[in-house]
Amino acid sequence: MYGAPPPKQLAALGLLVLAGFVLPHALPDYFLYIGNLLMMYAVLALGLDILLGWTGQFAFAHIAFYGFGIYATALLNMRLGIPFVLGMPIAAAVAALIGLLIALPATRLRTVYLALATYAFAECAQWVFRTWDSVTRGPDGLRMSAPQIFGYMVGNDRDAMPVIAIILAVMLGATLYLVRSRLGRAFCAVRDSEHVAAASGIDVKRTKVLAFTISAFYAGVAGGVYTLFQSFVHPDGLGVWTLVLVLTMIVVGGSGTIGGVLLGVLLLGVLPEALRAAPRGLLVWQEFAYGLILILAIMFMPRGLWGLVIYRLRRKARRGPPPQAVPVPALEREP
Amino acid sequence: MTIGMKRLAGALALGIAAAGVAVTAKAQTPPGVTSNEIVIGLFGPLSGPLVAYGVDPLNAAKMVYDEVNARGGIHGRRIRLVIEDDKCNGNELVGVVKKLVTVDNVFILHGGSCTAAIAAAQEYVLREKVPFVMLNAAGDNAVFPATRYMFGSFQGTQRVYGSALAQFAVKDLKAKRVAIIVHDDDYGKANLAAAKAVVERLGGQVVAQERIPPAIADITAPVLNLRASKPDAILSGAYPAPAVLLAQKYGEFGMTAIPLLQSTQGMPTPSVYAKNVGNPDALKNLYHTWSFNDIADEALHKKWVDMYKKYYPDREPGPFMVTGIPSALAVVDTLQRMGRDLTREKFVEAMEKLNLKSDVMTGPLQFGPGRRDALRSVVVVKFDGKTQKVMPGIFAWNGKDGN
Repeated sequence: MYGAPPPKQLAALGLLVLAGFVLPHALPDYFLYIGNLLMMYAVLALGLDILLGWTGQFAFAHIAFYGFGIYATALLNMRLGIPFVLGMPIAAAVAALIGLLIALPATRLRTVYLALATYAFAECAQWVFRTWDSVTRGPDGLRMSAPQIFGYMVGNDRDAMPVIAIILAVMLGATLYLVRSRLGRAFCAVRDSEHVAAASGIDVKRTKVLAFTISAFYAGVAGGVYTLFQSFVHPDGLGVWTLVLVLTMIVVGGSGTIGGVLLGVLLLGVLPEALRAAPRGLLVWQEFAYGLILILAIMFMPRGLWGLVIYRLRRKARRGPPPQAVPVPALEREP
Repeated sequence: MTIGMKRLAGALALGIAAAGVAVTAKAQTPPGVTSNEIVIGLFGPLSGPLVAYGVDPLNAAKMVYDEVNARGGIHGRRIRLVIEDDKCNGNELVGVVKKLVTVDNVFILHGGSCTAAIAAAQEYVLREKVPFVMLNAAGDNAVFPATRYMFGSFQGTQRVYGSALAQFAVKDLKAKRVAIIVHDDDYGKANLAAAKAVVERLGGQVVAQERIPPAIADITAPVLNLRASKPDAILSGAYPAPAVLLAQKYGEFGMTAIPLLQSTQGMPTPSVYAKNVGNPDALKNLYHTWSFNDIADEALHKKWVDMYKKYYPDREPGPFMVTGIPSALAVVDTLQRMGRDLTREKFVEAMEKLNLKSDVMTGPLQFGPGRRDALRSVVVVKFDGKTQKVMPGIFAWNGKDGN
């Protein structure tokens, strides 16, 4: 799995962009909003999966970097008048820089200690968003101005969808290239065994730091995407609930696979909307259903739904088509 | 021009005229209104961690609409509800609002139990010009500053609670030195600002201000800080769990000679609060704000509970049930005053003229051109762990303190 991605995958990215331009002319705001939300979660989950699924680091500071991305993009626009096309990359770079700084001490930790330390950082970040009134407007929440792209105001779901589709396509393309690169293989090697990776000449610490930094960059981009179709951010939305949702998307879909992450985002994103048609008495069971899905996924599908689908397809391919009857030439009868 | 072309031109002109008539007809009929029906989008947290704030209030609002329908509707139109779950989550609530407006084509939105989630939908509602009547959210952010299409705070804002407690402390309890403890969120910020402004306006002094996180597990240090400030009264804007911790430490540290005044949100069910505190001494000098007349009027309380049980015989109403009633009453009153000529803009104008003196509430529900918070008057109740006694007087926020 080295080198450039197959043309089919790159063509799919083109289709995604095309859909981003076509769908706003065909669907009502509600469906466009759900589409934009799913695409934002896809960028967020792809980033977390680089750290969690590809590099095997149980770090949970992702939601903090996402928050930095939102606030930085919005504030650069509102306070300094920096347009989105510049503000979003700057915000993502800021998130990546903070990710790098966090990675330096965090990569000395492993397993539950790493999880706890990074979760504590996420809590601290939420506290900063909540209490830094003069910048974030604290607990009142921040009303964001509509961003501008090349002088064009993106003020609603219809305008935002093509832009978000392009950003998701770029991030998906980058991920496809990343996981097929030397660095991507190093991520997998560190995930599978740090000792073997080190023995193979991979700089484990450097690889982990890069995974943290790149993952934080994705979260920053997702934060920028948020400002394209939402007009308000509140620190309450940057807590454990969002983190658990993104984690569930990755685990249920299939960590360490791009297709799995996208499948998880689609499933966990669409399921609540599908459940709207359910009788009211059943709605309170939603959390139970999510928990059950997560437990069942961990128990019976350790590679997620995507792993199950791939396994089935491969098994079917191994069996091959049923043997054909070989025509036997009729024996010539002697006269 | 040939005859064929003339016919074509005539057909085109007719088509354009017909389309124009159709567009005009469509423009005259607002979304969600037919000759015999008004569609209202009703929503709240029906799942998730904050479900307690949503299910009973939403049921209560539905009950009010069902009663109206049972009496024949409003000016010949029945109310049809499209009910949705917003989980008290901003992303979810925005999705719900967009679904109700663009897929279900409701006339107005009625819902939301959490202010931060509602605030996330504000920009969309204002852009699409859809009236949004909050169900039972009591935060200040959705109604300050006032915006044209959003109406709320039917049980009072934090400005109202903070102001009422401060007035009662300084005027009735003659407190000169007041200590305030609130959360480090939007509720706490608004409550503190109003309480502080009132105390200082009335000649008192705020000697301590403690801001605690809503998820605080140990409240010892903030309570010791309050005690060290030697206050004559302590005002609290804490939520239920921290309010219990506060009362426990207050009792444990022998502070019961100092009156403890709690905002409504800290003790939705006083009997449960007393049981959780577990120390009768801590309740000897306890007061709390309340926005409803059900404490003073047992018969009134029974009337609403009985009506609730009529519609939901399998469900015992929780403490928040009553909070869903006033906003529904306000919507019904507004629709009744409007007559049969309904448009969203006319609804906004009629809502601005709301002056509803309901038997449920401690004060009138009012809006105005620059006012979107309905209730500004509450009562203060003394609670000794067993009985509740409404203290004399109504405590009103003046619309300025804490702004």
